[in-house]
Amino acid sequence: MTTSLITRRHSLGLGLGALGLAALGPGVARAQTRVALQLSWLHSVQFAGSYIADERGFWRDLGLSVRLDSGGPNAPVEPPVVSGTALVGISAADYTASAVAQGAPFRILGVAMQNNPFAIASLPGNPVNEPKDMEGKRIGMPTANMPVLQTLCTLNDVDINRIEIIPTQYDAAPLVAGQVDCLLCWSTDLPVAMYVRGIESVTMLMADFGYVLHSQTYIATDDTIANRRADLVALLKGEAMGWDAYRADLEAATDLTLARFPDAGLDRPTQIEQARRQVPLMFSDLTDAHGFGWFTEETVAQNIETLGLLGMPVTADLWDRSILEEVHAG
Amino acid sequence: MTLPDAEVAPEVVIEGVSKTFAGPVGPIEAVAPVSLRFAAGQTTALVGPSGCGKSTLLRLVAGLEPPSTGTISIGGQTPDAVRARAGLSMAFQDPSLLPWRSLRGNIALALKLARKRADPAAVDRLIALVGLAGFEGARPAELSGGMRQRAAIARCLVTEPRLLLLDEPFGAVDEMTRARLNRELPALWQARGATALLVTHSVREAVLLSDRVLVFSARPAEVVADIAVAFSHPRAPDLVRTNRFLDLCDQVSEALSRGETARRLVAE
Amino acid sequence: MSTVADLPGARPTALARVPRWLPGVVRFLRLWEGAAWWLAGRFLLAGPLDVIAHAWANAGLLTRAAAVTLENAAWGFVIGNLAAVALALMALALPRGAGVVAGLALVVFCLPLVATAPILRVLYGPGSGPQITIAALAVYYTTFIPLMVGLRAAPASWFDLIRLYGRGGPSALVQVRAMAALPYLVAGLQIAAPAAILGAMIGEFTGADRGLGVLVIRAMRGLDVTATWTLATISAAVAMAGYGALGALGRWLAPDRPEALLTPPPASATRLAERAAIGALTVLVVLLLWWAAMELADLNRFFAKRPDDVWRFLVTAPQAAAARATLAAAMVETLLWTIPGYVAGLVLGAALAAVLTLYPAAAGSVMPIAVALRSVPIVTTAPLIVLMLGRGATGTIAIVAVMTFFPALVACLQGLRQAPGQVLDVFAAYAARPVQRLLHAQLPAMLPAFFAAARMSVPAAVLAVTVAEWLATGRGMGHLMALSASTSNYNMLWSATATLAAVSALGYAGVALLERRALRRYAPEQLS
Repeated sequence: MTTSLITRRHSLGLGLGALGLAALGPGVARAQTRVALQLSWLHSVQFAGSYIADERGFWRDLGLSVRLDSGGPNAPVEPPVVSGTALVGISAADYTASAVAQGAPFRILGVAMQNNPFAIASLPGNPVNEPKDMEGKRIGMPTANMPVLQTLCTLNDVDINRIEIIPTQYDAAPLVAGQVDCLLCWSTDLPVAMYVRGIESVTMLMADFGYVLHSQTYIATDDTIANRRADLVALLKGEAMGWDAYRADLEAATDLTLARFPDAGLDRPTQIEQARRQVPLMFSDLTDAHGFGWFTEETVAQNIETLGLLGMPVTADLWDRSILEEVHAG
Repeated sequence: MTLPDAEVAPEVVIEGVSKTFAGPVGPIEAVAPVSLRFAAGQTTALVGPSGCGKSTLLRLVAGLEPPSTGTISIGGQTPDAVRARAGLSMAFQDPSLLPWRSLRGNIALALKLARKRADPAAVDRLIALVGLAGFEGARPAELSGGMRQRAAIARCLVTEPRLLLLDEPFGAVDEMTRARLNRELPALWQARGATALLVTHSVREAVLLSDRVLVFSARPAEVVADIAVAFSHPRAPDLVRTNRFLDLCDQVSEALSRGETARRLVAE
Repeated sequence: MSTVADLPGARPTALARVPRWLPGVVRFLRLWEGAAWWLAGRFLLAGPLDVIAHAWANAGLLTRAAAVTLENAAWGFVIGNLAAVALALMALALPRGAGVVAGLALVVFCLPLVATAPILRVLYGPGSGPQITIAALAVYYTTFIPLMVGLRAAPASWFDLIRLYGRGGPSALVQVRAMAALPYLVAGLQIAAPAAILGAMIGEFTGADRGLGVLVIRAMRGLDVTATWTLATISAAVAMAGYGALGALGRWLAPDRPEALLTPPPASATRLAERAAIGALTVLVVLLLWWAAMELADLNRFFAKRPDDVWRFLVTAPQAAAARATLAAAMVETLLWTIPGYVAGLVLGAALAAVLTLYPAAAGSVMPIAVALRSVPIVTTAPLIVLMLGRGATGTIAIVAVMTFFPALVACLQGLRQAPGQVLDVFAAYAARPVQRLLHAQLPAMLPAFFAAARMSVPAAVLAVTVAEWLATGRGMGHLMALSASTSNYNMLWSATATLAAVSALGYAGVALLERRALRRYAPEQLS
């Protein structure tokens, strides 16, 4: 499997001609519509489902040619989507809600991460197993994430004034070096880095303590939803197929990611561990029943409640399931 | 008005010219209103105490500063017009050689700026004449102060101007070389009949080189003596030992001290 | 490398050069390895031996990444410096417009990355455009300012010479100004070399898929401290090579020490009213260009806020008072750090330059560290500084000083070399001690360069403080801008940007006022 994927990648690398020929493949003669998907971070297994959709021709068969635009620390997702540079962006419910509050006409079309990946990471000798444990401890985090911590505290009756907040970069080193007792981070990145370096850590997933918030949400503008439905349906359909394939074979998805981005500085142990840890965040009984990316009025209501605590009052209009319904109807 | 002839030395006429600079504690009058006439083809020496405004007068004639009052005419033209066709040349107190150019390059620069064709042989002859043969490729930093000043004189002469403004050109030159330059250089412009204004502190040099010596008092300067020097050119080396020459030197020196006294009286 | 020969008065022969810097480098490497050993297990620092092993094992990846980043840095270096030269010539050609040009250059330099990044990415799409632009933006200002000084650093009599033959500005530019400005241009280019590399790396934070900057983010998040310091070492090494090569180029182009720059005082000085009018005009031009650029590029108002959006947000909107209060509180917090940070950076740079003048032998140890500090992304060094000095005043001021001292160091070193040879000879004749020579001859000669450094350090310090706030204190404008960007509050982000630019401009004007007073005495040719 691994070798066949790499071979395929290399044959693609030989030239665009290969793509063109492949497009003539299984009975699809339509012209390819070129669109872009704005990712929320640097290339990694975090987006492996999209790479599978691309490499296996899921999008091509649906008449789409999708460019996957890398994100980064200074690459917000919302501006390219508002500008039309990207058809769809991968955001999160809180980011989308604040953008909408600032006048951006976004809607959430699908939810890749059903469970929010935010977590409190600590070391076993001084663990944070539940929110109450944070009291009296030093937490390291970028201060821009203050509202997240505030909400977690409110949800669990924790006195935030009893937590010492140490502004740090998004980096596990302060925890390992003993400068802080715990970190506010994603369960799929800094804890994985520590695991790979042989440092055992305790990860308290905030989603288990009431922090219900959709993450890796697919967003598009009202205008796109009104005028480019077919493209949106095709894009999300390819995503759904890609992520289902990802779930079926994490090893293959990881190897594909590594082969596709040889210059990204990715290492296999980290990527495979991250791939494993994001599965329970992305797939649930709900997605098993209805399909990848699904959300319900109930989960939306829970999100609205969390967003309210974050200081972002929104209505259910922020979500639009019609595209996803078309994706999973056929 | 007649068309200016570049080949004819110009008469310089200064009428009611004064110059006032803005100073930290009010205006400073560098040149009090003065009217002077310098005959075509004559060399006039300007002597006077330091700071009396001789250098400023030269800069006004060159058109490097606009006069506060009055007019300056060079052969019927404004200084700006004369400069525009490279009709005059000036040697500054400071040699003002560009440090990144060689000696030859500095001299050739004047020709280039004057839009004149550079004849390498002529440039090198001039360099030899000021006693710098063998230093053609040297940078200014590698030359002594006196050598730099001679280079500046060569640069001043190379464009063959009809009006020469020389501001203490031999100030840093040693006595031996100075005597030789005093003998040889004036021939270069006087043979071509150029008009020259020479600022100097040496009474002997003023009399030796000029057709006329103007003695200024201290600031605000006025002309305290206007002494004609009626020796023919070229001047013989033993002229300096004649009684007539020494008499003229005495006259100039006496006028200089009269100017000093006048200033002291004013001050008291 | 060239660092020793960069020093005033140092004229080492080829033989003397190698042994002079080598012991310093060896000392530095041993210190580094020792520090890494001491900090082992804390994931903060990797030693040179680990770095070499990592570089060897990942040579292919690192070479490819370095090639991408350096290509972008090179383009940014060329474009940014050409822009600086063009701006300086424009300011020279339009003496009355010089204030406006300088003001515009200042404001563009003040734009923080959080505000420009989304715009650049939307304008360019995927690819190298933003990286090159950010590298160019990182270098143009520190070339523009010294160049403006250099183009005037010639005695009045040289310009008289040009005018004497009826020639005007163009001849003066070619024959006098261009050559007189060369040492200053070279100093600017030397400052630019590490800045371009850093700019290209930071530019990759805007969504690049390869390069050294991408690897830095990856390594830091992956707790791969060896990779982080290998990347830091590579960027520092390349920056040092660039710095050294440019210094050698400078010595080849302009080997001579200048003659005395003793000139008559300027005929006229601009009046206060005139300067106020220029200031008002600059503000107007900035606002117009801000608006026109965004309109012409058809940038969406969601993230590309126009001046009228900021006006509404801060003045006419219902929540304007609250917004103003938030902004003002953050600005006050930031200012409290900016002034000590600015002074620290400037003093560190000037003091280091003075020390290197007194003890040229120290250059071998000091200059590589100085260039390295400037070329390594602050995100890698900040954790070390915080560890050693804490998150309080000392640590924060140290971070700001590290980010700002380099232009001051290079400009002052260059300025110290401007002491006229004849004046130095006088001191030599009296067998004056080096300290006396420094105090009485070299420091006065350094003043124009020092003030140029002081002026260009103003916006740099303001930006540096916001970065320190983001990395260490979590307060002030740095925190406000990070929070605004993450919540799409582009109104607040652009208001903060405009405020920072205005404060920088005011600081710049204040320094310029002091400068005029000082230069009237020591370097009047700079005032005309």
